[in-house]
Amino acid sequence: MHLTLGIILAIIGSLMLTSVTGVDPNNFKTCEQSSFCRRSRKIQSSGSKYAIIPGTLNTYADSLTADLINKENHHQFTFKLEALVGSTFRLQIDEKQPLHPRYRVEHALKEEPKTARISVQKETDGEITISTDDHKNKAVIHGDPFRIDFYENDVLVVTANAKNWLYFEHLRQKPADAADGHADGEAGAGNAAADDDQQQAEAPKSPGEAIDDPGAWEENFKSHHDSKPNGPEAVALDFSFPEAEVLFGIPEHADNFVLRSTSGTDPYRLYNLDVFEYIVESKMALYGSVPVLYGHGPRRTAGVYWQNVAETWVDIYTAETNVVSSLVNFVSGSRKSPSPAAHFISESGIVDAFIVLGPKPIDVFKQYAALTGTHPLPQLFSLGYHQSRWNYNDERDVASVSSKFDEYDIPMDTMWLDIEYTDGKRYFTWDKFKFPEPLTMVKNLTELGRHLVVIIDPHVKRDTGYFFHNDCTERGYYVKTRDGNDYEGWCWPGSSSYPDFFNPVVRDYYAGQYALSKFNTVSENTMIWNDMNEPSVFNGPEVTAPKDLVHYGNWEHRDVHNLYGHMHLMGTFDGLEKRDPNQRPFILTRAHFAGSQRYAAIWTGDNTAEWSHLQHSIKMCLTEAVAGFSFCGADVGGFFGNPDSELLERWYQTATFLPFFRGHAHIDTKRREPWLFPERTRLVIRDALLKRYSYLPLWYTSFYELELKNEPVIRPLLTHYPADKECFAIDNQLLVQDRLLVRPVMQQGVSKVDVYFPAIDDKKNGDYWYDVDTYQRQERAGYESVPVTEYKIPVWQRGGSILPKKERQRRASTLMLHDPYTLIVCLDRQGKAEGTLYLDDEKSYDYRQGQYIYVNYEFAHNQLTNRFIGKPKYKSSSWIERVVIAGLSTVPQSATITVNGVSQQLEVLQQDHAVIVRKPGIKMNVDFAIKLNY
Amino acid sequence: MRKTWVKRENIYYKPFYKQKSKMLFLLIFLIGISFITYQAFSLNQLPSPWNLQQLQQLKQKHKQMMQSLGSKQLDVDFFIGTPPPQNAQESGHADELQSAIKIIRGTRLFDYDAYKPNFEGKFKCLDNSKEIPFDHVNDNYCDCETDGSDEPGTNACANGRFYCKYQKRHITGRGLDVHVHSSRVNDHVCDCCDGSDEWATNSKCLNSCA
Repeated sequence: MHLTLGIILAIIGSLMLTSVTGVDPNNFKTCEQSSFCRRSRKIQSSGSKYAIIPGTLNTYADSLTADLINKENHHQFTFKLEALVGSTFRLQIDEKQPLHPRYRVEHALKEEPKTARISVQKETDGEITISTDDHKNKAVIHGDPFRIDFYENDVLVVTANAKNWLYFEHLRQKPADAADGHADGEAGAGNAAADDDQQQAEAPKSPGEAIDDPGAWEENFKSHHDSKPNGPEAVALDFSFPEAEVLFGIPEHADNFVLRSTSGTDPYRLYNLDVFEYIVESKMALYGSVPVLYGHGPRRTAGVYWQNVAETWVDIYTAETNVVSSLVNFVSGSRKSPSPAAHFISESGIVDAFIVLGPKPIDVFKQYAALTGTHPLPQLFSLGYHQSRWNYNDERDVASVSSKFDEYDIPMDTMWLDIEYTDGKRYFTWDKFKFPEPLTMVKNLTELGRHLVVIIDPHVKRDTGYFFHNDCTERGYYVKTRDGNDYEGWCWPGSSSYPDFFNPVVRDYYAGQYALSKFNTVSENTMIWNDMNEPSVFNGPEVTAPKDLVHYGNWEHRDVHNLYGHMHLMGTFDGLEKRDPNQRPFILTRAHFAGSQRYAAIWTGDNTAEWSHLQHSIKMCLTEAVAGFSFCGADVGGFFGNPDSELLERWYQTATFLPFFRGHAHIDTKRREPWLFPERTRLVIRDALLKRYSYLPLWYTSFYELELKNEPVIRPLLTHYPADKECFAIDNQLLVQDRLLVRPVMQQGVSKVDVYFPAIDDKKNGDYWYDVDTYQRQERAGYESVPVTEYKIPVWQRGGSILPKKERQRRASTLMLHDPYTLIVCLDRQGKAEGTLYLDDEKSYDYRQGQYIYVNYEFAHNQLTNRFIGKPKYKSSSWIERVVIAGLSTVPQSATITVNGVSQQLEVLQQDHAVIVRKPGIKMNVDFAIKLNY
Repeated sequence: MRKTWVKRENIYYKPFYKQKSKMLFLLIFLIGISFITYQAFSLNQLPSPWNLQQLQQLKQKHKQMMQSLGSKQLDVDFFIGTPPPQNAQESGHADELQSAIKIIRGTRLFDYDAYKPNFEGKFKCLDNSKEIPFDHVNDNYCDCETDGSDEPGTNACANGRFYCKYQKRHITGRGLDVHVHSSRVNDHVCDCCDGSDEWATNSKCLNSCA
């Protein structure tokens, strides 16, 4: 008896111990603790009854409108379906006559989407079929019950309201009874029927509906009170994906790439939050919210972008594929399990959904990017290695770290300063004792080709000696509380207030602070890091701002929360562009919403020095990449905790093939610059960094093509192998464009890793893949066990691709501008290959005036040729120093290069499994042909 | 004084083959013989000194090589002590150039002999990993990948060294070998105190050598 008690106690004790290491989930709401989520989720058992009111249907050249009615409470809504260019439909539902306007999202879309012409195909009693003019896309609107089926080439890919889970809480007068303040009491909804009558009398056109929920009109969480003056105003809608087998998207969560079913658990939550020591494999909300979700199956891919910036929960329904269910299906002969579906639940706003119809994964990513934009081509330096720490203590510290990188000949591009550089966390100022001469420090870095990034957070210290605070107070620029006072929260500086970036005047003022005439202690090359912009409020509910704060335009914080960071970024981006109009800004942000990628790169926030967090860095960035945020990375080494040397080595190697590459650490951790570890670790890290720098031309080209063609830089395997079911759920491997396959080592103490080579057809044929270090060829699809050493980063180049590299070493990427290129040609089964290279001045906006070279290289019939895309106007002093060709069956004797009809012999050398054409020596803007001679 | 002789039958005679010193000398002698024989046989691999014409040709070739070395102005440095001519290529007299002591750009005096073409016009990587045409020295392409020794004056090799022009040398030629990583050559940052690592860029380097 005593023994069992002891065991139980021990188990409880160990549970408590483990829970200490991560976030305390009790600090954040569950769906059950969130009134609107609880209410909206209830609809999943009963279903709702919405129908189109007959005779209200109007069709226009590019859209269709109708009135909807909730058949239970007879409240009326308007619904609009618009066809957009690029296989996209936009569905909007709002109240017909709301008590007051409901919030519609601004600034998330890149621009007002272009509409496409539609025509009515068929109109019968209960349904109407419209199709786009090219007859590719079709929508069938069913009247009663209300439902819309979306077809891509006559295949049903998305159904809106398939499960009748549309749920729209219309705005209503506050019932007199609930005003008494029984926030958590049962009395709040007790006299529901009476309220109903009363409300009907007041607003006859919007008959009330009893909301049987104690949290409808006010809500408490922990010690925080939410006054909810507008009462219940949730919106929810479900989308089914009949062609899909997996659902993915809706970052940011520290979870797998493929979304897991939420039956029996909380839904995935989208609410920008500063989560201290977040845990992995969790559906909890994190710093960013991008409500775009894709459904993917072997034949079709489609997606939904749920444009709502209020708190949102997403329920996921996927068939649990296990042996039993598949056996049952097999026996019962049922062809398919029910379609995967997602139920979006938002606290306020309207239903505003974009349905992108594919058909292929790359199509939906591009269609979504066409709506919200992409990261513009960044300066090259931002793709190099960033060295950060909370904090580099003073000017000497910065200078010594920078020179240590030189001493050990490790490339590094950017030094970062976290909050301690400021004068008492007053942003735009410097600590005069630790950083007496910031301009000299910046100049010393700039002379080495390096950059400085400093942090500027949105909270403002409430200090009457601080100009920024005084300006904001005098001019009323702060976010207000319900009674019209400036809101005061607690953050790094202590008592702080938060500028209302939703106000264009405030954004302008804020942008103006970055001008060199104002912030004159930095140079025009100093870039910005915007952190804590969820916003993070240490003493607020769930470490963020209370929902009943009031923003510009009299909108509640509840309505706009997930967009706050985005508006902050708009101000920063504008400020940096005005500071130096011909330099591309670089901003790193933590909070983000759909569209923030147009302004900033993101990182995955405050992770931990654990192997599981290393693994999640790839999963999270893959999800972010398909949701528009290609420029993504994780703190190398982990923010919290101290990595051992093996974890640090592997983390550097993994980050080598993620777009944003920054080492960063918490102030309480041990210093972890590479030279503080044993020599082997230093050399492994140096090796990884040199590899990163050698691939910079590929990264740069990829980012140009992201801007040009909306194609993500890093991609999950299913992007290019959509029919291979095996690779749907693979999220420990990634593709860089369609050229590299990366499978970093992310486990402790392994001597081999299992790599999956995707299949291109049913017969398990795959592409050729060439190991980038040895050019050894992988010809079969399927799993392969690959031996690894401590130096090895398992990466393969696809046969059929050509990629550019710069194999010369420099201390910073900016110094590589004039260095020559190496072309790596990996041949496919037909002995062909193709690939692009983009180059420009790597810094200014001149490329938008055509000052660039964009060239396509093609190898076929033993000959390498180039073809310029657009005119090669940029004057580059770079040249091609070698061409590596892998996959030739015999070694050629020599090569002949022909430029303008003049030929010259070139030497051909053999190396491992490849041959090298030695020193073609041609400039980048010259047409040439290199022929191999046998 | 009486001599005592040891009785003859008590003397132990070592056989010849057990006398170590003698065997050692014999071994050395045999090795010597075989070496000389080897040398004699490999003599015919060398150009025959009796074939004057061939020798002439070789000398010519070598001279050309040395001249091309001189005319590749960018790759050649002038040893301290001799003021460099204003424009060596225009003045162009090979004889004049030959009077100056030239060392290849980015090398140190210690390696002076190693950076000369051999009779076949080849250069041997300093780690003996391979032999490359002398033309390939400092031609901005890395051929000696293992030690980077064929590109002392450019940044083509990953692990090479650039010896700055200014060397704090003792008169005997000994002293510190002041060098920077190859990655620093022509990167628009002055690393050598005399700025000699920025020989192809227009960086304005101040001479800070003391």
